[in-house]
Amino acid sequence: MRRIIGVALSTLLVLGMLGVGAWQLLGGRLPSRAGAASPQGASSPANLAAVRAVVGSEKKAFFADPDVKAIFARSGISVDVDTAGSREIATSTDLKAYHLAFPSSAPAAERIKRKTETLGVYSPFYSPMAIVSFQPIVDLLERVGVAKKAPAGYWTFDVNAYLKLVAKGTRWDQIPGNTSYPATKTILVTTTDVRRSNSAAMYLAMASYAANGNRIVSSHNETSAVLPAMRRLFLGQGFTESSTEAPFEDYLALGEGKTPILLTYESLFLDRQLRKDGSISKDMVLMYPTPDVLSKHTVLALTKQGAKVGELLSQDPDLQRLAAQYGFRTTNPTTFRDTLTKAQVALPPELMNIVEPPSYEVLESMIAALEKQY
Amino acid sequence: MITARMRTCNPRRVAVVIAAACLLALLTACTPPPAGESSRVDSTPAKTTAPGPPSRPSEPVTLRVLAGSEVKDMTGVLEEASKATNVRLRFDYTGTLEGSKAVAAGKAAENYDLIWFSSNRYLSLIPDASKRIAASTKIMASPVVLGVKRRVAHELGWDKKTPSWSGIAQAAEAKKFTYGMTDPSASNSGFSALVGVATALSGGGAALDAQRTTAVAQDLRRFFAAQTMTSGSSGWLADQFVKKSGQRGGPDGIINYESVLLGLNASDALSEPLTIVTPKDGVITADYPLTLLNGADNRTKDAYSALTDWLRTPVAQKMIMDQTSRRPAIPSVKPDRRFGQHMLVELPFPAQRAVADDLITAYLNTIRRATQTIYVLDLSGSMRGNRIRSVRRSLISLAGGHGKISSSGFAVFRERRK
Repeated sequence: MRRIIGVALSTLLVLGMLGVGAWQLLGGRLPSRAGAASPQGASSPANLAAVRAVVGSEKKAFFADPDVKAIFARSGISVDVDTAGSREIATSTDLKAYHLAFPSSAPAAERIKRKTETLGVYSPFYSPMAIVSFQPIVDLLERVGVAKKAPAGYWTFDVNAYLKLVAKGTRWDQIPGNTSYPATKTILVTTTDVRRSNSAAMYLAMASYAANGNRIVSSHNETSAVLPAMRRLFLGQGFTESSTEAPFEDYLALGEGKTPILLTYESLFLDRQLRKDGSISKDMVLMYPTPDVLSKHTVLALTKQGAKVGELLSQDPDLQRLAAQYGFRTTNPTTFRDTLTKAQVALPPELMNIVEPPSYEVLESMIAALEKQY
Repeated sequence: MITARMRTCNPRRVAVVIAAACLLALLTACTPPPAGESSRVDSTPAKTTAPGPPSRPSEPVTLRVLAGSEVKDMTGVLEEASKATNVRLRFDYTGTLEGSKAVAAGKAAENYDLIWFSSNRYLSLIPDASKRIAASTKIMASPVVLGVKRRVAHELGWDKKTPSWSGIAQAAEAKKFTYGMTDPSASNSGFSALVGVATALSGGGAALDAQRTTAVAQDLRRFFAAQTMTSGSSGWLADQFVKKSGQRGGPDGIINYESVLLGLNASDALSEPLTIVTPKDGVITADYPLTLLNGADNRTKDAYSALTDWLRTPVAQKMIMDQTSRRPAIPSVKPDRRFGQHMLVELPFPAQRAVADDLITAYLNTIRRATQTIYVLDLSGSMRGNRIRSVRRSLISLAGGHGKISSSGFAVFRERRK
């Protein structure tokens, strides 16, 4: 009897949610723009409420996964995602069109929170920033004191030593005895566009920490002092992409000619290792910058459905397990470890040298100052 | 498009006789075809009864695309795409720089859902242009390289040892070879080559800035002394090169997309095959981002996702490589033997629009060989009234006066032009 009541209640709950969804949709919150003919949205199956999310590009594959879709469908939801740079989400995206925003870091989330009313904030998973390269390049970097092997066996990337190299404008072909990569271009880590993308902002966080004598930049004076060094890191690269996925794909597909060293999320590299699709070749190397920062992927619910998605992402064990399969470090570390162990992917290290990004205001003022230099 | 022969030594004046009406036609031809002259990709999606993947639109969707003419060779692949995804594309074509400006000004979104140029780099240099873009997905890649007739490449030793850009510049200055390249103010391949050679000749290192752009002008003049053919688009340049390939006085080489050069070599059009020279200090690679403009409705967004997802499947990527000689954009499809084994070093691309524009202006005004264009005007009675007025207006505009005939802003008479 209790089971029947349970079933009846959950049916009612689902129906109720669909009702809320239909009300929200008909109420013009979502497809208020011309052309959205079908109230469910074009792609969602007829019996599911379409929840539209704008997310950082590195989470696109996760949301496109049929298993992820199936779990959301259990709750009567179909999550359709658009991708955008985290800072673009905060600045230029019209958030009225979305149920939730899912930028890739706490400072980016903070920025959105200040301009938009939110119904809840969730941090379901995170990822340390990583530097990926190729073994011959890592060997060169080791020679100049930037790449170092940690006692535990993984590679680290010394941000302080790297800043010194960049200050001198060192080119690849100036490394003594370099026959493997005699390019005439300056040694520079490829990043995304610091004006638009979160991963570049996280890079700015760690580099400014190092440039500030290993302290979090916290004042206007400190910002001014580190700015010339930060400028070289970004403007010397010239054109940069606005999403983290794009240069990572270049790294995989076009190799070291285009991207000898790349800043990325650890999750993108682990994801490819977990997929075992052959895209990670033997000479590809994952390094951890010292100091490192964590990118905390943060859901900002803009509607009730958005909040439901945030809740499911952080609490549903299946979704947590799937997030781990995409290389994200989950709130519960066991889920992450078990997933990698099961897939026979080497467990990444517990990182010791983690620093907090500067406050939202300071990080923003550094980005704004860099923006003026373009 | 117009092909102008450039001559500095022994300039035999060739009078181009054109009636005033033709002059106007010529002016239009200088600029890319206006939007509206659409050439439609005729690809009707096949009806399937089986339910497709969830992202596939259930009804056929047609998206309007403003594109560079380079992607015309994607017709076959896009036909397959429409069968698989129910999404078709309808194209209008324009030049990369011209199109970029239309996007940045917000004009493109009035008539188009997507843009598809060989690169979005110039676009991204325009302040606020990023606000016009909702998403972009790289579909394929092709570097801008130098193709040299086999015999000439052998004489220069470039078939054995890859030269640097400065090595190529030395050979150019010594008149050991000549080449054709598109106009950097109209076409992405010419623009990419100009950026590449300027970056390399200024000593490599970091991306070009204003100071280095000024300093490198003299070296660039040496390099461009050997340019004997130009054109407004990479396809047109290739056609002209083919026409002259068996003739005396035709250029020995051509700067173009690797894909165009591989295509020429695969065809029987050339009198002798081209040796592809990839300068060892680096190149600029086109990455063909299929780009969704802001303001799209959900149906359009979903159609865009379905199409780009499909275009990046291994099957589609293999098809693109086979049919268009471009490099795959995904790691699971490896470039085949035609692309060679050597590493493709990518040169940094400037991050400031002023640097790019200054470089183009310097190229047009002082770097390239001076051109001569002779207009013979019909001033007879039949030209009375409106007709002569429009000729007058056009000439004033060409001479840099008021009244624009092209939105790119680069279509005026240049310094040193006679």
